[in-house]
Amino acid sequence: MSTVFHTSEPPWFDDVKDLKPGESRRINDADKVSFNGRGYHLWSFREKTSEVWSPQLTLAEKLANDKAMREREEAAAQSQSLPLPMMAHPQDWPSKARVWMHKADLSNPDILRMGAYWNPEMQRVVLPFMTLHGVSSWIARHVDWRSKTDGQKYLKPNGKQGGGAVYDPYQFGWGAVGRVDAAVLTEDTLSAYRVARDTGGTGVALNGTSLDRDAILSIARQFPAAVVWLDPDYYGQLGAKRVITQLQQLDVSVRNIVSEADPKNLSRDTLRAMLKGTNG
Amino acid sequence: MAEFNLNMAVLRLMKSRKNHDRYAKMIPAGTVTPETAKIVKRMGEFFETVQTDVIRHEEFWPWLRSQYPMWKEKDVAAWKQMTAPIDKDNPLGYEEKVIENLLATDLGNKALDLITKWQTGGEVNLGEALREATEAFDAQMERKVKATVVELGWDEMVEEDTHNVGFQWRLGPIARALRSLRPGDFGIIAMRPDRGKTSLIASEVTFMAPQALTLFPDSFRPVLWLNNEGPGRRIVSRTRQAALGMSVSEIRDMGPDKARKAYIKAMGGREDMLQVVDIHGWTNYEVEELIRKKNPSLVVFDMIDNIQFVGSMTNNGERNDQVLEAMYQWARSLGVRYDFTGLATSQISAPGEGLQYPLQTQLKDSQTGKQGACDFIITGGFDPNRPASRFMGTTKAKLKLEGAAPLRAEVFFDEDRARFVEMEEGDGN
Repeated sequence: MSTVFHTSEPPWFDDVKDLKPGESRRINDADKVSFNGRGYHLWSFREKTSEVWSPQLTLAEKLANDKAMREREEAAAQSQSLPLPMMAHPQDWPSKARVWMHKADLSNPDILRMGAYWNPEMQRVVLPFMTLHGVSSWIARHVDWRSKTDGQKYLKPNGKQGGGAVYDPYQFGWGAVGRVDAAVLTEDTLSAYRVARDTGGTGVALNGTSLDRDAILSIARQFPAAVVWLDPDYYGQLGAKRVITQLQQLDVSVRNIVSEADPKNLSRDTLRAMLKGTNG
Repeated sequence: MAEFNLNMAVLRLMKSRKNHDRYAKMIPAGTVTPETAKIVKRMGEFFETVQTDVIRHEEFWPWLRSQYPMWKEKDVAAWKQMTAPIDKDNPLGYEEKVIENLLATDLGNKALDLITKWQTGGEVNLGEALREATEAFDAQMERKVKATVVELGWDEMVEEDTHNVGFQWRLGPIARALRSLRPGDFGIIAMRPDRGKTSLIASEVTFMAPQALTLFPDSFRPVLWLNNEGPGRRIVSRTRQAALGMSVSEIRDMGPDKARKAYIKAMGGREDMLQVVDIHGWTNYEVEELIRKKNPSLVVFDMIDNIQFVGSMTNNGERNDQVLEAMYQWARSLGVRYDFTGLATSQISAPGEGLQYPLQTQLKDSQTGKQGACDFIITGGFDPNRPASRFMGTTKAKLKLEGAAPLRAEVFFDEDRARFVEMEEGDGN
């Protein structure tokens, strides 16, 4: 099994020029080419070898691509429904997108379970979720974000989301043992998923550092206690302080956890220990 | 551990009418959320309209709802959820913590403001301003958290006044006119310069010092003489003469060892019963620290006017008399807080020269200020025609004994022995 990286246009490129991002085509008996929006990937299932061709674009082409991408993002943000096309299998994703997930200790089955997928048109990983109000929504992360010229790092639907991405352990069939009867508020969705998977608490991602009053109210109604576990940076803790006050105003018993790193980057044991209060 | 829920604790504290009356006004801006502040304010209005001692949610909520007819459905839900938990009570001992917390938060906010202002180049004297803020904090802590209701049993009251409990005066005319001095009393001894203020106090204090042993048998509480006038050695020498009732030459004849023994005997067996401390250039904080450390039963301030006052203690007074008034008030409150009797010296201003009984308004630099801050003023008038006499009078006598005539007495000033002696009937005439 080996991979050949072409530096000039391969002979099979003419057959697949018209592929749209996310599409694939079988070009002969044994070869299949897929296009993830950036590069063309040929897989020979007889030889078990692959070839990759990433065309070098001119500046004009790059700018035109960027502009088109921004337009597609704007269009996608108009709706709460999931932006298409969808590449659900992580093996088809660019490596940066996969690494982002794997770094947070999320395996391929986890990715499938979360329903996360690669959107080649927007070049983003899309994470679908349920809000606190039971409405489905999504958030799409740019995997190679450097500055504002790349658009938003996190793309969200424009409409009011109703706060918080909820990951209930029961929803995934976990948490029958060692369930924690508290909402664990994290900044990002991966952390919320990790909390739900590894500790038995209900992970609620703020997708930011604040929550609106309606979301706070629904947390107060659904949970007797809450744990605020935002990132250990300045803005994270500033937001934590505000969210804690908001929750306390509704007489929710709140605990603040400040860990050394974002919850998604902690090990399973550390997550459990810190949530139980035995390690911090 | 769950985080401390200040907002809910404040609401639960304020739901009782008594607490609301006492604390609602002192919730510092910025320590609680705007929502809490709003509810507390509405609770006050509720107390005005409804006769109840404790607010319960089932009564409060319909009233609150009726105050906001324009609320939308989600506002209603949120406010209801916010006010519902007030029915539970704060755990025991929580409320002091809440008040402390409020005050500390307020102090923190103020300090932060000052520092921000200072960092951005605003015109602020940082040290001074911070000290003022902490002073205000201390004062509020004293008042608000440790506020104690004054208790005085009827037996105790009658007992104290019938037996005239306290430091007895040596000088007969004063003892017959004023009751004995008790902790918290604060008086001024006023004379023209060089007419025997120090001697009068030495004469009285050396008589009072040994009494402290019987008045406060449980702990050693000396008499403290804070001096920032002349050198302290001179005062020590005066007090020794006064204690023994002997002139310097008489003491010399007696011999130092014998004199010392006699002095210790006169002081009730302890040489350190009367301690003279030089406080030249001290600030009010240092004085307070000393008093806290020594736990005196009686303090002589000679003189308060010379103590350096720092911080906002001086009431932002511009005029000298306002500043002085604040200083004397400070000394008096010190006496109440640390439970001692205070005696301050003051000079009589020039118009009082040659008067046997100077007027109340003739204290130096102060026509009303110092006068208001004390319980009694004993003046020692001087008549050039009778140079060996002093005329004891009171221009203020809150401690007057029941049925006694106001103090008006000519006494003999035995300058060499630092003693004031009562004249027998017919003397001096």
